[in-house]
Amino acid sequence: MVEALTFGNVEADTMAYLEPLVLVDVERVLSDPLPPGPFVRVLLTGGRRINLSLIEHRVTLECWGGTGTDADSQAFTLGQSTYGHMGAWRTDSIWVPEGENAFVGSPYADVDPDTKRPRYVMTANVRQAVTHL
Amino acid sequence: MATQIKLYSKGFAEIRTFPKVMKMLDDIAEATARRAGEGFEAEPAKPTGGRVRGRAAVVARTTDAMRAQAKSRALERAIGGA
Repeated sequence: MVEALTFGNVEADTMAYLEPLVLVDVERVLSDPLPPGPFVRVLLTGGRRINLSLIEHRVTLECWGGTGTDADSQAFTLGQSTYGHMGAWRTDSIWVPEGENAFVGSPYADVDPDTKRPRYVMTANVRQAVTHL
Repeated sequence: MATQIKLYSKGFAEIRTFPKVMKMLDDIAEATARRAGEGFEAEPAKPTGGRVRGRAAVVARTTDAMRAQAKSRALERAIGGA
């Protein structure tokens, strides 16, 4: 008998995990126009299969500041908060490994070339266990 | 009798910067630059200061490459293999 193995949608899971914690909108596709307030964008940027039942995804998180004068500090605070919450993500089927394997690097400052809005960007390693059909 | 081990710490730095290791880093950087697309270039591996490690880099050389990084995270995708 061949058993089908499936994995959940890591982007959707990340959005569902983060939204109640960071208390701002968490999006995957950028809306047009962009939300005026701070928000987080979740982007799956790759990963690797560790074994038959485990994938390590690379999930990039862009923490955007708003459009006001405090946009920079909003982006920074949101970046720090997201960094902390992602590093602490541990559930049975999806988690971020502890220690230096949690992130590809620390959050870095970045500016959107079109809107000039400030962002803090980080890439987390999100491990996901198989879901049996 | 207890055995004492004395680590030759300079040797670790030498291992981390062996020509074979530096070549491996160059290969990874070049493959990453290729995956990231036009305008991305690999910089050859060099020993770092401090704990002395080999480090290669991929940089966005053109405006288009910088934009691809800022808008669609070309480097993260290239590292992640996407």
